[in-house]
Amino acid sequence: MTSAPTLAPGALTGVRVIDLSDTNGVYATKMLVDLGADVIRVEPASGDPMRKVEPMVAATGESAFYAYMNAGKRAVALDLDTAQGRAMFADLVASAEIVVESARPGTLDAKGIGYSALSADHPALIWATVTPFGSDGPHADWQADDLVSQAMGGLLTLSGLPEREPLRLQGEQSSFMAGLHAASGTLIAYWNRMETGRGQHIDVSVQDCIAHTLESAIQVYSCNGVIRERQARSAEAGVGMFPCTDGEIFVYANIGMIASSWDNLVRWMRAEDIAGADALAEDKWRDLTFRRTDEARAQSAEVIRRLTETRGKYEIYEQLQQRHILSAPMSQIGDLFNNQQLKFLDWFSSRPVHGQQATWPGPAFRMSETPRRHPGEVPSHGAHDHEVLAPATNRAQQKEAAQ
Amino acid sequence: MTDDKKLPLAGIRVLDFTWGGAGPFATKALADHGAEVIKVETNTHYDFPRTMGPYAGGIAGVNRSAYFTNRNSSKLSISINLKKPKAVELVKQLAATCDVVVNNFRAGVLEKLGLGYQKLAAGRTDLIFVGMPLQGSGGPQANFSGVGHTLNVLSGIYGVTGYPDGQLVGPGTNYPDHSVNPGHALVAILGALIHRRRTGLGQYVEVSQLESTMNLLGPNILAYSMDGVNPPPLGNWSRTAAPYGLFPCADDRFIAIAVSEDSHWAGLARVAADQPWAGNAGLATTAGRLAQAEELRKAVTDWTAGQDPQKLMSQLQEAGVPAGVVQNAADLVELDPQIRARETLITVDHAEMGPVIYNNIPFRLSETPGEIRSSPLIGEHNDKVFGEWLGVQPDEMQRLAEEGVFE
Repeated sequence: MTSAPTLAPGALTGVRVIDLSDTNGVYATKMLVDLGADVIRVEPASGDPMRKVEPMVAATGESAFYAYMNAGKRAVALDLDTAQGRAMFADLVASAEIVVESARPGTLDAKGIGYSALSADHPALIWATVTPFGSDGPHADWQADDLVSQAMGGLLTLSGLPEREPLRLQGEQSSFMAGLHAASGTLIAYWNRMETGRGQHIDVSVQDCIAHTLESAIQVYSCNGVIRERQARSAEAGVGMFPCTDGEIFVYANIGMIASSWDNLVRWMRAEDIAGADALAEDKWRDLTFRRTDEARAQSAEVIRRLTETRGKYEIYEQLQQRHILSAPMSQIGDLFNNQQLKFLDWFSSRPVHGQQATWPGPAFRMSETPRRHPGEVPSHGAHDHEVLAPATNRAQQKEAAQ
Repeated sequence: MTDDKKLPLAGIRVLDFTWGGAGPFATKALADHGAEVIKVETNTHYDFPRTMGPYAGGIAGVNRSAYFTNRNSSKLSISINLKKPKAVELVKQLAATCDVVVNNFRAGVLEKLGLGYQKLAAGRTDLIFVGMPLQGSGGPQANFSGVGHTLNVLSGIYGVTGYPDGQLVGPGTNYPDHSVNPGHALVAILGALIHRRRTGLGQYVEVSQLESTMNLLGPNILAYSMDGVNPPPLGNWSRTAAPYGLFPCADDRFIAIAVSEDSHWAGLARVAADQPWAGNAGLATTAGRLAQAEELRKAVTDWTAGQDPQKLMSQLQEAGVPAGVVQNAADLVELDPQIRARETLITVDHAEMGPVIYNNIPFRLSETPGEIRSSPLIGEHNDKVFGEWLGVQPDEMQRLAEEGVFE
């Protein structure tokens, strides 16, 4: 299978989505674009604040975050503080099946363009709200960005080193966690609409989504009363980053989850006559408590280092994998383009952004009948005002004249 | 579940071969919304979350792991030994009654059992078949193995997650297993169901966990392709806002404070009115604050140190400043009033474990909400699935059990 362009319709071809989301909800509408929807992003007349979200591209002065999230959407500029802007927004919503927004709870209602007002004459409307803490509850009005959301959702405390402060996952990860849940809820609502003809409201709290992403931390506490915190680097013998001639290799030869990685690693090191490998075959290395001691970690790391330090990271990655030892080459962003598997699968996609040549990640999933196209154009500010808003203006004027 | 509110995915049947962390989290969402999700298990080789714990009451047991229950709510479980030809035959019969088949085996495993896409889709055009292989079903590294922690490294998220002095640490969890890979799989399955409803056609869906996870780095990949620069690790800081980051409080706790707009600064200055820096007019603008970011960090650190984090958070939020305690599991379960009000965590009874805490569904549908029902015991639904649905007679069930088909 490839991600080649195709004439086949997407799952959501012909479905119109109005996107008034910020970073909290924007990955949901990106998912809908990938499924073929016609997504119209509404930005303020003063410009979409997302156009300033990092990473900014030095060569163009544009936000790569904005480009990645909004390629293939159409952009219109509307001033929702004016009656005309609100009327045109209402008209756009009337022409759509789905709305995704992240306004602070109550603000759209106060302007008369919230879900309850705009669904009154449009019972099939699906409307997803994605906000830091959700639309109700004592903290509904509280504010958060990615850092604060990762803190409040319980994820931040799980990363970083015990002797240093907790560590945020990089790259606006809240966007992805919340956007995927919002897209899922929206698609279930769309399925229900196909069955019943009725729309509904979907409420998504970023904090809830992150609290859903904590591995088993909630259950470890509720079952054992143990509060999971960030763990020491290489917390167990056989696990960690090891030096290579040209970088590092990550080895994950633990025994709790998949014991064979450790056994296979020890067997290989013994066959290679690595000094100290024989001792790692003793029974005590099957005991997790021992494996977590400083002594066990230091002793095993010294042996594994002797294996890795004479080889290149891609070379040893292949050798480890051939022996069924969980592992991965240390990869910075620039290294990702060298991934042999992704090259073979023709995954990356070359498409310019505002005239500048660029390489895009390929699709997050591949579908044989409804494949994603190459990423569409990145819309500049108000790029589609004329084609989208002219009909809306006409309809708004007709409606006014009729009243 | 009340009778007048049918769950939205009622009527969809899913044959679920997924195991471990990522796959089951995708199919559980289908089950929570009413799909009949049949989890294919075996007693000869347990789904490893069943044997990892944490266990209810600290007592180990294959039906006692809360890690397992949280990922397998609302499903049905069959136990069957696919090494027996009769077992494969029964599962083939079952697959013929299913709308969706999902697996996250290594590429080729189901094919070897005779349960691959080509076999199951033969003679029908409406099957949705979903694979979640680690790195795709073809290519030079299709047979490589991995877990969330190795995907963190391979996908590049480890390589951007570190302290500002350059020390890389990466995520502390098998991060891609918990929202991203299940999320992409769920979106793809729902998209395929919608497509089928519109056209009558099923399809083959592949969620390569590497391709899925690397989209988390999408903006960075795009930026690198244009600038050729690896992003330096940023820790909890910001290049565009100050004061910004984590600040220490009493009892070794931290609070996140994110002053990204001048109004946030004004709020902070009101709460910290007794501090000398609060009235500094030079700090009223982002440019002024960024010029003194390091001094500000020290000053705010001195101010927060020793303060009660929960109290400080409330004061800051009420003043319009984005701020939040670095919460842990105990804070979420015991303390956070928002989590409680929204029932983000709910308790559901389990036949062996008693009351079990689950994460509730993080998206709430106003008219057709999903519902978390108990995760199954292993093999709990053999009689229902094989007896009631496939019509295998009780004496035949007994004979097959003796042959080890239901191991």
